[in-house]
Amino acid sequence: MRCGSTAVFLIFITLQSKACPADEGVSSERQAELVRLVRNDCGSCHGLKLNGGLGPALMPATLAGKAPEGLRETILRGRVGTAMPPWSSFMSEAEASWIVEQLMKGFPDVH
Amino acid sequence: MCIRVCLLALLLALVGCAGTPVRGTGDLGVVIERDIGRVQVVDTSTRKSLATISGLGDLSHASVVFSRDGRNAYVFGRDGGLTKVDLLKRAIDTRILQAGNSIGGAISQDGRYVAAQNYTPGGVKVFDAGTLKLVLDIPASYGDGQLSKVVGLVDAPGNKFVFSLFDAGEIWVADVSDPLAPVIQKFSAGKQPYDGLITPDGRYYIAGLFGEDGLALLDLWHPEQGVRRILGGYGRGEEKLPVYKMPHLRGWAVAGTRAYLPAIGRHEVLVVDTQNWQEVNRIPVAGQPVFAIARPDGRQVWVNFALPDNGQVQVVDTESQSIVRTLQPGRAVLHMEFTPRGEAAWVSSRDDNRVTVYDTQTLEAVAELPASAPSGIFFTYRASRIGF
Repeated sequence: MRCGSTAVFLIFITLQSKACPADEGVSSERQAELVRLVRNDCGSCHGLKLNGGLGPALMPATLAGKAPEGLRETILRGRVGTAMPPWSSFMSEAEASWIVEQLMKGFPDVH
Repeated sequence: MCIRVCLLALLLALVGCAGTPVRGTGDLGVVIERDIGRVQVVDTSTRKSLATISGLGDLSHASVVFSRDGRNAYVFGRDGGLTKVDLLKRAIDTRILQAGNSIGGAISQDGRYVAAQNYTPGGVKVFDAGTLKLVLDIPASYGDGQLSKVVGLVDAPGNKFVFSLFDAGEIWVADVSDPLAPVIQKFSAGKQPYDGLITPDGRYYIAGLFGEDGLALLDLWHPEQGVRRILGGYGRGEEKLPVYKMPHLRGWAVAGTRAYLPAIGRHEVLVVDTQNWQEVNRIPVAGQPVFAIARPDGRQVWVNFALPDNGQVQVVDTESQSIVRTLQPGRAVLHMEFTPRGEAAWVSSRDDNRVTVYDTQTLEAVAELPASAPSGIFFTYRASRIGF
């Protein structure tokens, strides 16, 4: 049931991807949690300021031109042969899409 | 008259105190407040914060070494900042930006040089410990002139620095006795060394490998023998868990003749016999360990964990090789530091903005200090220890 509704939601997101930003599906409280997660936990390899570390920089300039779907897949499933782990047990696909969108336009700070 | 003179003397003494208090630094330390670029100077005798010092830049993943007189803390920031903090004046003495992206540092055996290990540009830079003037640049070049990220930098006897090249899979030993004519030896280590450590006696350097099973061991008494693989079988044939935070080997645990190492990608602490470097046990723990640190007397090893188990600390009794207590110091425990003789352990909880002090006999919390997103805790007795 949950899986089905997620799938419907994803189709919705895919269809509306230009017109409807991903944050419509992510509550503001959850957004704050995700910001904290990205800054602190992704930050342990990519840097608190996301300007790189053991992992590459995740700044708008370094991500420019990359396909958002590919970035979302990397977040959710990790990247074999590198230190990048899959984060799918910590977030939904919509939340990963929201993170990608924020990264590409300049990630918010923890408030 | 006499009273007046006495009062004047007292006043002068107080004025003197206000500048630089006359005291030792052996019970002082530094707590990193990572998000706001600030450090606290703390006193482990009174369990109090003495001062805050701001303006240290990006302190995510910051680490600290101390001058050999225990007066100055050298704080290495992620943004390449290297800040010399005077613990007595409670102020910044000197600050430089030495790289674009940095991950820590070390101080030489003779105390004359401070070295920073950098991701960008990949390499090690060596500075005069007094002035922070650059005295030596060691680019970590490999292949067709690429630069490797550097990890696991430690000091070693003979005024050497030893470090690992993450991208190149090498261990380098740099003798900086004469920084104008450094002698650098290079060794093949294995795939993706992610951190390194040196044994308390300064003899063995060990790099953890992310890209393959096992660890790389270099005997610094016999470097001609090259790097030896140890614990090569651990995890073989078993699928590793995804790693949400790299284990830290520095500040690792040697208790008696055994070393306790965080297993990468598993919920285990590995126990190794330091006489022959064979695995003797694995202790199941609550999550993927990040730090495994021995109490100075070696009776306990304290372990913290990666996401999502990072709200816990487990205490291992080294005699029975079992967990005797699971502590809940707060959300996102990032670091633990023992006082010099180990009667207390200070534990940072980033997401609860506090440092909790535990009595290591009763394992009860005895004090709590507010701190803004605290990460590393570093006490001055590191000044006199090899590899710290």
